[in-house]
Amino acid sequence: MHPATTTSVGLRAEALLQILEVTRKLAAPFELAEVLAEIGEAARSVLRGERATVWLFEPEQGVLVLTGGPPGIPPIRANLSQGVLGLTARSRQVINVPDCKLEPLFDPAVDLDVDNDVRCMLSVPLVERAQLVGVLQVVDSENGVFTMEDERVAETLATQCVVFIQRERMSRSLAQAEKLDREIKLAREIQMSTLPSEMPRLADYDMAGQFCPADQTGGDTFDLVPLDERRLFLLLGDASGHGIGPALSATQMTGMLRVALRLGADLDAIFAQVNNQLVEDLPEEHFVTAFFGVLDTVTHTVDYHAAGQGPLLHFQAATGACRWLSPTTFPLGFMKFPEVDPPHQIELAPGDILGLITDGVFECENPAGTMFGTEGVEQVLRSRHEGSMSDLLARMLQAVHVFADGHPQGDDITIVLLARRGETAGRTTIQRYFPRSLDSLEGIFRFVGDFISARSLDAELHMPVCFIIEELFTNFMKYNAESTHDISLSLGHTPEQLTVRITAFDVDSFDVTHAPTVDTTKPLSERQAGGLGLHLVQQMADTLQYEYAERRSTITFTKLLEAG
Amino acid sequence: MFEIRLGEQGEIIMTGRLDAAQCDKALQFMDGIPAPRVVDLVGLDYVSSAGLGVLLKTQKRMMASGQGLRLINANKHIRDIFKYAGFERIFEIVPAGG
Repeated sequence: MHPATTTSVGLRAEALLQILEVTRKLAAPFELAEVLAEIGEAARSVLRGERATVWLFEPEQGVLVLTGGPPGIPPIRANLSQGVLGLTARSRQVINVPDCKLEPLFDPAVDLDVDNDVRCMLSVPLVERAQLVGVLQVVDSENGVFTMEDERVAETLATQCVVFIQRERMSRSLAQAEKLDREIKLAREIQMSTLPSEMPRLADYDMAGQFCPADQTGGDTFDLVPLDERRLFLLLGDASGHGIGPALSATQMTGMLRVALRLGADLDAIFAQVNNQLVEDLPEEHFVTAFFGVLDTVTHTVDYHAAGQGPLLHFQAATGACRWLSPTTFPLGFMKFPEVDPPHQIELAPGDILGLITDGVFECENPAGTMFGTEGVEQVLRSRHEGSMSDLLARMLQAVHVFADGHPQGDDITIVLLARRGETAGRTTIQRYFPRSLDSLEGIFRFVGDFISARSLDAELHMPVCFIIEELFTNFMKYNAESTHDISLSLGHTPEQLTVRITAFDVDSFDVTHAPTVDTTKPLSERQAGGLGLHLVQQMADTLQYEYAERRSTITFTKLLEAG
Repeated sequence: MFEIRLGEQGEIIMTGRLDAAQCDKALQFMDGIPAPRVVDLVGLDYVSSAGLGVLLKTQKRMMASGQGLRLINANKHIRDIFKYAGFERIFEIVPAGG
């Protein structure tokens, strides 16, 4: 080792080697405290000082902070106006103080003069890309004062150290972000785990529900809880806010609901108590919009409270119209209800659909800034309401996705769909009402035609099926003209057969299967036009059944489908 | 949509759907036809029992003079219905191209 040897950059070889050694050591992953300690030790050693310290600059507070003291001692803070330390930070220049006693700026409080015996000091700014990172201070050179060469060594060392400090700081904030991500993910998993794993099965009803979480935010939830054989509890919730909070609020609400249901509480009590608990628990600026409803599958009604949750969709099969219902009260968690108003009620006719949809759907934006809105939902419904609810739900999500056209999903999306099925339950069945009028025939033919083509059934069926339906429909009109109820027509099929069911309400019994047969071999003079139609119906249908109950006439006929 | 009119050779041409809602229109037209004719059904997509009634009623009136309607160019479905209704015994039915 030749201490006097200097390198091409003007540093003595020994110092350069030491700096390289420090660099090598710091390349291993360290905690920030260890990095700072290592830098301090390296500086003391390379610059042959008595002691060395590294201050870190906290940009948010505009102060320099010294950590690494004995455990339990809080970090020392210095502002940028204090001492040689402050001047170094402000000027971003190396300051070499040969005699601290003579330096007016020297401040023992921040310039490392604990025992009031510091003789000389080298104060070096740690700067990266013009940003202050900290200040390195070394005191009391073995050689009496710090030389100009020491200044250059210190600058070189500082350049290296800054890299490692920054690396540590970045990986630290990255780790924090990762930790937050993990926590949000965990909260999400808990939120997801409270969702129903399968759809309840109830006679005459078809339902589907899905929750599509956005990346980071959102607090949607839904629940479908059978109360007994005829009733089902429906919950949809959307907690406000961002981060973990909404997911927790949503989960909490589901939990409260389940306990309340176990305790046998009724709709109004649950609604009031969940709200009152949320008022106590939620931070002031947070709230939850929610739908609480109970479906009765015998009366076909849904009693509900909609706290800030809306618009609610009621698709009416008879008219094909969508009714959008407003919330019935303000969101949960704002204030305690002095008393709960009686629930509102929706009546579901056969084919009707109740849709609970969170605003992630309505407010889904495309790149042009247009929202999907209720219009987007209606568009899907118009063409798809007769299928299964899981199919309709998938179509809605697909429509939202297509509409967004790559625009990121800003909020959770949750859709719950509940359909009252027609007289014949089954996924391939569609049902519609038609007024008792010959003017309905055109609509009936189109209804049948759409059914046959949408399901790729044999187009040859159209004519005979329409013939039979027209005959039965006009018969209902003729023989029970006083009834004002629309006539229900439902179409269904299996791979083997097409089933058509026509129901007239509030009518007298008239059994078409026992209609007098017509002798089609009679000569013309003895033939009557009347009765011919029902005769042909019996000929053309593969099976024909008649049922009468509760002043309701139902005729069911089938047409066999040819294989392939 | 149902249309009924006279063709160039004096034949009756029915097109579209002859259902219960249209049979008044059809019967009114047929009542205005005094003597037997050819009825061309090439454009007729559908006929219901009410439509059959119109044909039957007209045929009864015509047959009083000993001659009836001649139904031509009916599609397969309509011919099936004619068959179920026993119309082959009452009308002269000529298939498409026949």
